[in-house]
Amino acid sequence: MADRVGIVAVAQTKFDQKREEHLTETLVHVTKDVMGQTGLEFKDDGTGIDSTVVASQDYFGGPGGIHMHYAYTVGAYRRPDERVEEDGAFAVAYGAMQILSGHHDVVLVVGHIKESVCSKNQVENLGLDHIYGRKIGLDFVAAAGMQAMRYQHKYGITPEQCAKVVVKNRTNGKNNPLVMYANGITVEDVLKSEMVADPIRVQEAKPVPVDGAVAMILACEDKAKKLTNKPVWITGMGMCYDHHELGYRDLADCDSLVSAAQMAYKMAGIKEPAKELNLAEVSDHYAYQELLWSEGLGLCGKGEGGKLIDKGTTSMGGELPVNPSGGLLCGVPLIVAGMQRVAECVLQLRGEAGGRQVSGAKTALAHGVEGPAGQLHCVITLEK
Amino acid sequence: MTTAEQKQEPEFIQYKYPRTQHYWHALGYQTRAVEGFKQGKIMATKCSKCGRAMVPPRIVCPECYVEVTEWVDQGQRGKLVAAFKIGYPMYDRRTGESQVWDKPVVAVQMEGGALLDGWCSETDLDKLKPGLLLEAVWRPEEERIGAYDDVLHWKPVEK
Repeated sequence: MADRVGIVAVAQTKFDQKREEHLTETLVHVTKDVMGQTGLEFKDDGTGIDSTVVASQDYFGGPGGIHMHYAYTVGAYRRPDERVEEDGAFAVAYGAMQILSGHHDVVLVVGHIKESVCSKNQVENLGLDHIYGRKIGLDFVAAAGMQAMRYQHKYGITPEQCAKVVVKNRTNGKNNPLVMYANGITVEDVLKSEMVADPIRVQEAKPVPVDGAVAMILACEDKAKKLTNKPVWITGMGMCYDHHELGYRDLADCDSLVSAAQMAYKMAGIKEPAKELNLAEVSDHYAYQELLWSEGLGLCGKGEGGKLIDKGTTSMGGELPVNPSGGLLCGVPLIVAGMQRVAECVLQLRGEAGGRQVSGAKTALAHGVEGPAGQLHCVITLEK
Repeated sequence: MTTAEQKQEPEFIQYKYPRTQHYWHALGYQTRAVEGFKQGKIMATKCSKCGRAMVPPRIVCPECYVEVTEWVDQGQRGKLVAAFKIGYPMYDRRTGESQVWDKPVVAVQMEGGALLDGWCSETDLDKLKPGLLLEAVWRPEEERIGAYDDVLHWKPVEK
């Protein structure tokens, strides 16, 4: 069994609408990039990439059709090839498990999606119970609206505090050349924007549609050290699912995230995450979620997400910058989202984050989420 | 009433899903294949390393893992590899319904090298021996949509 798993290469596409590009063209570019960084291709003699895990969503390929193009495009034909129909952070965790369990030494992990292919709302409607939620037309936007309303009501989180998250992340994103929606928006602009699911306004929601892909190569400790002089180590991983039905949960809390985070912290030996982490990349599909997920991650106390943004703790230059990349609010596709959080943490810990670099970053946290109102979470901690 | 009589059959409910969900697939390099169908051509990509002709066209050869840029027209004719009939209703995308087809399914080794499948106009399996020369019959130009089913069926070439 391997001792540690290192991330030895990452690549991201630009996140935009790839209407001119067949999805295999996107996959070729991003996987050739990480293979070029390491000089590795798939081999069955233990000298190359042993296995692959890919995250995507079949409904975005035409029913049941997105994964068929993957294996041959990345050179994984007739190789071990696992598919993850969840957020890409889960694919990273599964790839790491393949190595920790001793099954493989080197794993290619890819996340890709083209949101521009079809209606995201219709796909997400299919993610709800076929006798109840699906029948009344609910989707994940509506679910997020319910959660935001409940969260604001229970803990007194204000619309202004949520809008500040948008301002912070869209400002951070100006240093990220891969995102399209960074800008100098103000709190007033956010609060005047169109309401999409009360109390969520359009500027508080992840822009849609956005297409893109992320690839990375994971390796066992001894191979990671040979493949790069800047390996980033996965120190902790945790995953947890909550009830699917919204009515079975108090949406103002995020119990499954608390459990996932505790699992990751225990593995990593982290006692006080707010003090021990240097940055966090959190999946902010909606502005309020960065505050709520920060609570679930233990970066502040329950109901204190608003104070976190008010104090500037999570801003660049704050004690614990959250989403220095600009986060999902600057336009990152779902599914790719959590894996892209990991990729951004890797760049930070390698000191290769350019204008969005957190000075002296040694530890980081990446978070992925999927399902209505944050049903399931994946937390990955990393260090250099 | 006995226990056996009380035992109920499992109940089911059928929900209809009248869902209009359109897909806009970015074609990218596949544009050439789709335009080919509209013109009555079957286009393949060809691996520069192993020479394999690929339909559906691939941007990467799955065997050699080299990027592929060469295109070749597969021609209109090929040799029959196998023919068989299917006894259950199969989905017809153009009507949205399923039906049992009288036409057999054929595998065709194209002049250009690709191995394709499709329907055959000859329904007598005794007349469909391996090696028989088959020819593509296309839908009328105005009915073509830029997909493989623009080939209506394959028919034996008359000597």
